[in-house]
Amino acid sequence: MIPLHDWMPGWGHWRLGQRLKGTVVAGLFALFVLLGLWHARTIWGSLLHTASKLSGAEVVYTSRDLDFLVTSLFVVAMLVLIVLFSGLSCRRRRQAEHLAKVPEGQWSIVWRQFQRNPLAVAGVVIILALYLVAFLCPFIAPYDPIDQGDRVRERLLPPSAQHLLGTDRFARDVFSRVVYGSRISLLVGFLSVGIAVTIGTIVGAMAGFYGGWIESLIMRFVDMMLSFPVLILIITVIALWREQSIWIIITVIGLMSWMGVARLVRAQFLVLKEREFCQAARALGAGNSRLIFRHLLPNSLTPIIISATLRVGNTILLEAALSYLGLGVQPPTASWGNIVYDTKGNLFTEWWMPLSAGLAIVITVVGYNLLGDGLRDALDPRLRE
Amino acid sequence: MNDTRPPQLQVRDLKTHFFTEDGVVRAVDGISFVLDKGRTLGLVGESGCGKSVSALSVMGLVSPPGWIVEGEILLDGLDLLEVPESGMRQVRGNRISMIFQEPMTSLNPVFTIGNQIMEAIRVHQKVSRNEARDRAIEMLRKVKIPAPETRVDEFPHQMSGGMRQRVMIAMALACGPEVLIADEPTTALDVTIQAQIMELLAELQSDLKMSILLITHNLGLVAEVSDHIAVMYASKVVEYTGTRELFASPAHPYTHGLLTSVPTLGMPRDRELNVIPGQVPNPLHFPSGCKFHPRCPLAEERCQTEEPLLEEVQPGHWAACHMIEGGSLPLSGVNP
Repeated sequence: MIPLHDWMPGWGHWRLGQRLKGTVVAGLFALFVLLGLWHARTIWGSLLHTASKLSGAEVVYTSRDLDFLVTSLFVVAMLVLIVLFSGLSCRRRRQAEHLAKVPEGQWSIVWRQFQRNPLAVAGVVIILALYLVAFLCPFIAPYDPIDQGDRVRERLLPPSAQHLLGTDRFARDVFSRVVYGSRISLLVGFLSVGIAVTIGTIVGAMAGFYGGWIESLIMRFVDMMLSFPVLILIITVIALWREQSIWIIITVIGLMSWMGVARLVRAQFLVLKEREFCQAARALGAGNSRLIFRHLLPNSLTPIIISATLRVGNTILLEAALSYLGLGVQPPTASWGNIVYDTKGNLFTEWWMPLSAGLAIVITVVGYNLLGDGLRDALDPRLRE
Repeated sequence: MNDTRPPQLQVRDLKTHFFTEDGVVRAVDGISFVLDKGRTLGLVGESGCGKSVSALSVMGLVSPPGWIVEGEILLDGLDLLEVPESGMRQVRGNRISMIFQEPMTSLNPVFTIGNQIMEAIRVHQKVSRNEARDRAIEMLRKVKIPAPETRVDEFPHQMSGGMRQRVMIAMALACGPEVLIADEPTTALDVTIQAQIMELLAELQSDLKMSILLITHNLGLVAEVSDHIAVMYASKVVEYTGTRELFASPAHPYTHGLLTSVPTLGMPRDRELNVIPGQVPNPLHFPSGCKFHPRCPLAEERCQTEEPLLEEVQPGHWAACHMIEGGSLPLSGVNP
């Protein structure tokens, strides 16, 4: 049985002497409680609206309604998850205290190492905050990002209490657009890198493991892909498509940026497959697939994770560049790149508009790079004292 | 000591060659030996004489550019060279296991040792995770790791070299193999740990009724634990006999040289240690005739042209040398 106070976010951890953890958990819980109360009406209304739609009533249900539903569910789910986390984490802590020696896993060592680096922690906080913003868009943004106001009287307003960053030439609230733009950037960064890492790992693993002509063939293909200027190649591919959607951009960026990962994984495999534990595994009857998935891949994970993290920043920049060129996310959907594009004519008069979107890009990329650097330092055993 | 037992592993005229860009390296060039059931055979020789390649050939783990070009490897009558790779995977770890020289690097650093022993079991046997875990703990107890219930969840980096070698042994023996190939199992360990590991192996051998092929360059080690010894020189077995017999009356001049070059306790301090002159020949350019003739004190003209065959010079005592007369060498040197 888990005592009641362990379920109280923060309290259990404080009682166990984990004050920092307790404070963070309690703070997050308070944040979501406040959000829930503040938007209680919206959440309730969204749930009711969805329920009536599901029961077959004739109501208008737009993508914005879906947006609100997802965010409402997210807030509720986070409240439940935080409570669950506090209870279970306290229980684990109590169980560990009974053991004479707490076994320290690889990841807890890494985490301890990571915490010593304030810049890396800042990176994590930035990234987590951005994901939070992306999930909570409808609650944070005061307006619908594509909703045009009165185009005569509300056009190009300066920053004010109603419009924190003013309005653009279509009388849309720029702050809301920047908040919604976070979704695009984070989505593109996450999914494109996911695609690139998956392809790169498979291709690199094949080349490194099998060697011989397979390796030559694959690596020459990689060289060929690398010799194209990426941006121009991507522009060409996107231009060949009739319609432009965020999914196509994600896929194309992913398909064009796996080569670095492939090289990295191949190099790792070449080194690792000569290590004695691989021969030992073979001598104990392991076949090729077991060798790859149990021995080589887990040991290559560290550099893959690091390079993926560092790559996210690049990808976000690439998407911003494409959107700025008008080839990325299409208006009226907001993305940081096309906000800069939309407002570049106002650069000298309403400079805060392009600046806010540009700053958002910079902060995100810096956050990912700090995280990647921190991970590299924390995961490298040679840098440990 | 002299009762005969059925052979567990027979190697006949095994040739493993490496086809490199510089030419053909005859790493193993026609070796034969017999490992009897429940016995230990020591395979002794200098670095680079082909001991480890012989072991890898038996395991079927020679990778290109190396190929087994000729020979027979019979495991209880089954010719392993006829078995396809998929079948060999069933043999490795299940019927023949191998432990390696470097316990520090022979374990996968990212998994717990329990996880790795469980894997070794589950490759060959369909058992549940819980059952495999229980057996892993049982194996750790067998190799005398203290507190196996807690150490099973430790990572390799949390253990010492001797402990890791014990874990390796536990992994290798988890499926109860008939043959264990130990490739320099104690070279990387310090002397006291060496003795413990060898003692453990001997204990497990009688416990599990397995045969051990012990590969080493350490004559003291084989003298203590093996029943038979095969001495290798330049990709060939030059002498093969019982341990006592070998140490009492070595037939081959190379073996003789090896035995007299080991310093013994109580040896006069000013006496110079006997050394074998010259160097191990380069396997790309072996000398003609007997490969030992450039370094042999007894070499005659015949030795330079004609390669001696492994012949039975005494009952159960095989050697490959032209100069043997009536089962012994015309050497005036003292036998150690």
